[in-house]
Amino acid sequence: MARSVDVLVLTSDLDFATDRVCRELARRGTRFLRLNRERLAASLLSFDPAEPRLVCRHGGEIWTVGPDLGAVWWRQGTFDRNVAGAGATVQEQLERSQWSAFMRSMMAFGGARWFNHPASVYRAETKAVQLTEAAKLGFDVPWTRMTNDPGADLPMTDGEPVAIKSLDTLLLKDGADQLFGYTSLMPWGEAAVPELAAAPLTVQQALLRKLDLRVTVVGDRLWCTAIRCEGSGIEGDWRLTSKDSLEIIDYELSREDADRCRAIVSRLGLAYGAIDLAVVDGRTWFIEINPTGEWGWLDTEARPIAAAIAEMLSC
Amino acid sequence: MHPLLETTRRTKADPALGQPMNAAYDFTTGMWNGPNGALCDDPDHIPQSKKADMETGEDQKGQ
Repeated sequence: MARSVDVLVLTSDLDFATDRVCRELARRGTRFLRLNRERLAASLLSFDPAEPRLVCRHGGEIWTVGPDLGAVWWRQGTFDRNVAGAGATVQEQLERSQWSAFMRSMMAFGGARWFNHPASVYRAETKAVQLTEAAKLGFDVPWTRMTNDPGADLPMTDGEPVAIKSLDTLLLKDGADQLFGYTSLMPWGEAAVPELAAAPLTVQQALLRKLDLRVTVVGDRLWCTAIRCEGSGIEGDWRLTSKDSLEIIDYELSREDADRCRAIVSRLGLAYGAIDLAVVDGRTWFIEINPTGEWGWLDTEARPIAAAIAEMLSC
Repeated sequence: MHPLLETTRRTKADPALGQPMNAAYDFTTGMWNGPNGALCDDPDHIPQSKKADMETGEDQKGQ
């Protein structure tokens, strides 16, 4: 007998945080089907887009996802960042391109509530859009230029450090190595080299002596944490601090900033968002929002994020 | 060299580094289980993420 599905979970093998959402869905008696993009070929899937209806056969069992599907938890990349794909075999290229399109085809379930909808994620992942919307909402936004011009006119004094970062997540493959781009602080003169013309970067006002905040928004719910090391804020990109040294503590966000966080999530057409803020001398600065940002490292009894996501999906 | 290439951090891209050891994925429950039960409750058996200086695609950007 086929199992009906209320919630479709579209993610990947290594999304361990979503394991917790699945467990919470099961606790609520919500019928769900999780599909991981790396394992799609291990199931037999058939999709009728007109109805729409998805039939999944796996391990002798059958799941059906019909037009009455309630919600979708979308944890897929919406940009193809796999620049190492040139080394893939023809078979691998075929599988990657066609399964990716198959996953996107689930957008045919237009009656379901999407968290988040891929079209919204696509727009919201664009840093320029985020900064524009944040400024409109009254957030303090660091001055920013996206440029490949070593001679760009920037609003800072000579020798003053600036933040250098990529326009989009920078994850590159080089033979057996992978390269990941973090935010770097340096005088503009060190970045303004002729080679810059080859590709744009983001140069931004450096926020020094800052306290990093991570705000996780799930629907109307919001959790704010500060990220410290040895009781103090972290200079530069806090992700470069060893995990054992990080202190993740709850932080009381002002009502005004909390409202802005909820507003930017809503304005970008999202229901979930991971927002990075920084506090400098009492001012709260908007850094970015990630519509598919990590949250498993923040999920505790006091911050029941997985349960909140499951509740949102089950409503 | 381009400043973004100059400042990236280089690590080994061994795919096995991101895979859980001694654990099995259950299709029906949508959960990984290891020797101590659910892997999501067992940080010692979850592959480290970029929060520990290694990118596993946990934020779903490594498509």
